Amino acid sequence: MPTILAVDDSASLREMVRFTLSEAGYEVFEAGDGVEALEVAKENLVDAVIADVHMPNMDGIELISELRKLSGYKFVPILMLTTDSDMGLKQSAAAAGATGWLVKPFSPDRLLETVKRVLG
Amino acid sequence: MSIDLSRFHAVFFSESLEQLDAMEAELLKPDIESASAESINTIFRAAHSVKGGSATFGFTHIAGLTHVLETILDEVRSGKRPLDRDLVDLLLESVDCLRDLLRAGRDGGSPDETAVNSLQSRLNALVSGEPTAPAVATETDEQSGAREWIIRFRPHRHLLQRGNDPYRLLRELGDLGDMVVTSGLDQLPAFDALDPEECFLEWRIELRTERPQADIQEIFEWVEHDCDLEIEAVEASPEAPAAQPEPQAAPAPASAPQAPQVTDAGVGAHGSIRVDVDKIDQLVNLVGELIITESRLVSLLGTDAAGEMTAVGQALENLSRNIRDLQESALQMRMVPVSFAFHRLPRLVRDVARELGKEVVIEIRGEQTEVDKGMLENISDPLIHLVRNAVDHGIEMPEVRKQAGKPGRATIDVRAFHQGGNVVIEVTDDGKGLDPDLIRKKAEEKGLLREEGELSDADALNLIFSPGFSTAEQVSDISGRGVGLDVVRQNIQKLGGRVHLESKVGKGTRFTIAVPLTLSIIEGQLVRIGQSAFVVPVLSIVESVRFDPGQFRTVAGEDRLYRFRDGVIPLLELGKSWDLEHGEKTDEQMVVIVEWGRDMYGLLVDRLLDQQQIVLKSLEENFRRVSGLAGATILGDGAVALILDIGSLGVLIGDRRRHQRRRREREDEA
Repeated sequence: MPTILAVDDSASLREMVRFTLSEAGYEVFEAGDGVEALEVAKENLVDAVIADVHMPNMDGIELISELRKLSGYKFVPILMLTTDSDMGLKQSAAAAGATGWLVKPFSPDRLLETVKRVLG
Repeated sequence: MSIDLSRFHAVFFSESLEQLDAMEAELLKPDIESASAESINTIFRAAHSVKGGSATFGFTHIAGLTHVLETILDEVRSGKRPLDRDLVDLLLESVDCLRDLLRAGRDGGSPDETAVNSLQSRLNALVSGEPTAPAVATETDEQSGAREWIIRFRPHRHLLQRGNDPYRLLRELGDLGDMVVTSGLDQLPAFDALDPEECFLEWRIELRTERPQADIQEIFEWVEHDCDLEIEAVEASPEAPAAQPEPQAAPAPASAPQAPQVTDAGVGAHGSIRVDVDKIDQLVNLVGELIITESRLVSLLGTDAAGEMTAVGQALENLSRNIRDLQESALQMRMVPVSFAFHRLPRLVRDVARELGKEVVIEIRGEQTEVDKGMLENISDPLIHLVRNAVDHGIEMPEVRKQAGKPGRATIDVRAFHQGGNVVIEVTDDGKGLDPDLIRKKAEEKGLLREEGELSDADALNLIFSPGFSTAEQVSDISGRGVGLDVVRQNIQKLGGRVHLESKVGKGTRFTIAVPLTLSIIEGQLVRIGQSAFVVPVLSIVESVRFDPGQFRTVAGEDRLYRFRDGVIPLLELGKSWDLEHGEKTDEQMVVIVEWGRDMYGLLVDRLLDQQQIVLKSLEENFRRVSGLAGATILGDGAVALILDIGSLGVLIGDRRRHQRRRREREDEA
């Protein structure tokens, strides 16, 4: 069962992501910000990461840079949750090593489609 | 898969309301106009987060508002727009409006559409006429028959290192229709020079699909800056031949992520569960019973066990200790930080100050001080009243302050701390202070002064707690409605607490509220009247003095008065009025002087006993409400002691005096 780490400071979105992915058979880890996510990622080598950009303590972009420094996360797909107004951020995220993004708002179906793109 | 999104609504509402609180708290910081990047980021993130959730869960009004807010705040964040007072006002108004919308969503009410629309259009106007509709994810589905495409895809070497994989992209393309893929090996180096972490292959794909070009582009959307890509339509088509060569897109500037921030809005993520307050009360009650049984045991065993430590005595001592710990833990569960009562204050101060043209900052300290939940609910209103009062009456206009050599911006200091078994809250302003002479004059005009003796300054200050007293020259819109300080004091006293006032002309005023930590346990003074024990709450006691018959007099045959300090106070002989069998008079008789409102009165008791913690038992629940009694408790010897209700006894005295005065007046007329 593929494992996914969902990172968002919004509990409701995190819950939606977790629920949707669990229902689809993925095992989901959760984190509320970049710092927490980094800890979880070190303890559990996950198959994909989905992370929000704007978060306290450590934002999504910094999280990606940090993850890419870890040997286990060199090639792991990392998806950013962005909004349409974040065009510049997509660039920074890509530069930091993001695989792709998912534009908010998204439906559970859209989330699953996107995850399937990287996990098959 | 179909998932009912409404299952996430409750979390969304509560977290969004928290975000709005955080946003409001930042906006209310005194120097918000020169706010730090960190502050602005917090505000931005709050709007951003609420927007994300509302758009996802289909709350269009909220999404609409937060979408514009986010745009505006992003401009503030990048220095394109100043965060001035007007904008802060507008943002605060938005916070209010969003809160209403969220609550309406949560509680099933209907929001004020007019207000929402008005706010939305004012916000829209601010962002230079940009049309604002939050993006809603829609899939375009324009069918235009099967067409053939030739796609050249040459990944840059680092493509793999961003978690992308050419194989996955090709597979997705294959899902669109029929395709033929040819690999190009031109770039492939000799085996010993081959770095397995880099990508050297390239592909030419012939694809036949009914799907629009946008779908093909979408597949490469994530890698368009990490590859050279050409998409060409083979057949001539009405659509413009869409080529998408994106040679060597300039590498995005190295990301400059914002410095890590430490937010103080700490949403406690450590494990907690919600428990019904009734259940906790039940537990506290049971512990109360345990304590009573335990003191019963101690007193039964007492004399035997005290001398030598018998095994039973030792076990009992352990039991006692455990019960105390249990009691503490049980009471702890009802404890919440006073910040729950404090968080409305900054907004209140700001709004009232703005309305009056005053400049006031509020400083809050000790907001983590814990107090019983029930107690907190009861001190919240009095506290708000005191703070509102301070801004309205205590603090001068900025010019007046400057003339007096004070900074134009006033400070209200709210501080909470524990002292003994009490929680103390101080509200201090650096305003004009209270002038005792002015108060005396005013009180005289209003006929609130009693004939008896000259009032000390301290007593004069206390006159402002009298019903119907107001020092403001004119009744203002702000504090002039309804509740006065008299009500504040009575409400605090009903909780077994007291309000204290200090003031210096020109310097400022401090109100101090002290209330017990909990409503279920009070520090009690045991007294004996006749054969019965009663409890007087210690916080109500001013002083206890030996009863001196020489200081006692009866006026008009009924009104019993006792000389105390420079004046006389009513004396309540509960032994007589409640017909308690009096033992023979001893010289141990005491007068316990208690405070109620701004009045004091004495209680004549036969003997002072111990002071101890009293577990309050409700009379209403176990018997019925009795005027003059606040409840009952069970003592170590199993006897029941009634707890005197200083408030209602005080009212009783007031009634009696008025009644007698009326009767005397009628007699005089006759």
